[in-house]
Amino acid sequence: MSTYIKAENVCVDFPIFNAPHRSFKKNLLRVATGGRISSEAGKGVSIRALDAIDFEVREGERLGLTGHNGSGKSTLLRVLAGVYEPTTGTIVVRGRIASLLDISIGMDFEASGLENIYLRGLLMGLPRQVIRSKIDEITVFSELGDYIEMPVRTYSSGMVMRLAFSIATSIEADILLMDEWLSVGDADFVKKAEDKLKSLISRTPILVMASHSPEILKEVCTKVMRLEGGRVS
Amino acid sequence: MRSVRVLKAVEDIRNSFLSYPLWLSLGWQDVKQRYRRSALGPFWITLSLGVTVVMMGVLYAKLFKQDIRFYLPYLATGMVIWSLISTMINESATVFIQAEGIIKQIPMPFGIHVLRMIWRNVIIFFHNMLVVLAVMVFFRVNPGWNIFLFPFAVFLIVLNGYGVGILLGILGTRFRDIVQIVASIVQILFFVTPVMWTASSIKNKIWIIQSNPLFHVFNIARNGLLGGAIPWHSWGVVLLMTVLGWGLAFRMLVRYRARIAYWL
Ligand SMILES: Nc1ncnc2c1ncn2[C@@H]1O[C@H](COP(=O)(O)OP(=O)(O)O)[C@@H](O)[C@H]1O
Ligand SMILES: [Mg+2]
Repeated sequence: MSTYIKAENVCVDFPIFNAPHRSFKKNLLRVATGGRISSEAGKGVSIRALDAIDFEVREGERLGLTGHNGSGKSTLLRVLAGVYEPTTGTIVVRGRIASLLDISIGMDFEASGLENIYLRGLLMGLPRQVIRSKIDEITVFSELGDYIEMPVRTYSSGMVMRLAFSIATSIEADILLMDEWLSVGDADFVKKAEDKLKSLISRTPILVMASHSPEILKEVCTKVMRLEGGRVS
Repeated sequence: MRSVRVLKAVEDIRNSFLSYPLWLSLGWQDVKQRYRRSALGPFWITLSLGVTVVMMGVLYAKLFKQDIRFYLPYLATGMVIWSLISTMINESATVFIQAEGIIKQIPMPFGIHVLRMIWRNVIIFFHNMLVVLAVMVFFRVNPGWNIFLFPFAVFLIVLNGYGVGILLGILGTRFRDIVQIVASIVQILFFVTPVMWTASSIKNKIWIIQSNPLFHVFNIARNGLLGGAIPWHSWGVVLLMTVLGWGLAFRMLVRYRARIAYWL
């Protein structure tokens, strides 16, 4: 069974709430005075972040997403990750997804680096044994040394990013999702991180990455899809 | 379409329980994070609860003209159970809002966030049970065989917590004033539920007290610790409440599961 992604007519509408729409009391009052209660802001205002998107990604392909701010790149990546179920249309994703959208999510600053490795690993769906087997690799790569036993709040911001990066890139998957090319740390680490990311990508069947940079898109991706106002342009 | 949504809701619930390594860790981490900087850790709340119980117990036993040997264990069990239930209800309203970062990035069963919330409160509950244990030993309270019913009572409370968590969690994500509304209701519930006062001290209008489902929850949980005749009708009411709560929560989940991420 090969890895692939197929999107057909994918639309995503975000409800736009104003304060009264978000208030239960106000909605209750409307019902009491003869109005109807509705889950979607009186089926009122919504914004179409993605509009009839069709595309297909096969094994070996690296899809780049580009377009202005607000064109829907991040939203599309979240649809692929399975965060947003399309309002209409269908999306078929076959393969294990690793989402590198925000690598520091779930980081607990009171906990030690080690505990954070476990937490993040569990969040990404790895069993404890697998996480344990990656600890040495992550510790070495992040160059944290004995700091790995210390609470993350004692780290410098560079150390936090190195840890987050090392954890996120230690996970093997079939599909990698990335919002902008990950670049972390000081000059030395940037180079090392880039090599690691490239080797991870080369081992991964499918990559979908949003980026503003034509150079990176050209270097990394095999095809590029341009979004404009939620449509493919 | 509807059958797909039903299936997805069923899977959400089932997979949330199956993901126990995740929510057990997250729940533990929450407790540790909250109390890491205090030397006593979670025992800090145990201690403060113990002090509250003893001071209130002595005062109210006089005020209500109750025997302290009866009243202090009664109050201790009441406060510990109340603390579990009220915190779970209050935290339910923000259970998905708190997990926004995770929800918007890594799709996982929504029930996991509820189970994480329940688990951290269960951990704190066990710490608080030390107060109850101390009081029971001190006053030589013997629950007898009823003690074997106590785990079932706690289990039912926690099971209800899951239903309430899904229900209020969804409502609270959609309507941001639900948090305050729930907090006010919980405050009222504290006074209309026999946490501090005893139902037997009220002579008439007993049906008003009995129509509060929490009355029955306290009945079964206290009975497990303090002994006495088993209140079967209360067990019945709590079971019924569990079924109804889950039914309602399930309907909400079927209908709005896919909307939660959009509302965050
Ligand atoms: N949770 C949300 N609620 C409402 N609108 C949103 C939400 N997320 C994104 N949008 C809107 O959807 C559009 C696409 O946003 P996004 O996917 O972040 O674009 P990009 O990543 O290309 O900058 C924007 O107009 C943005 O305002
Ligand atoms: Mg973006």
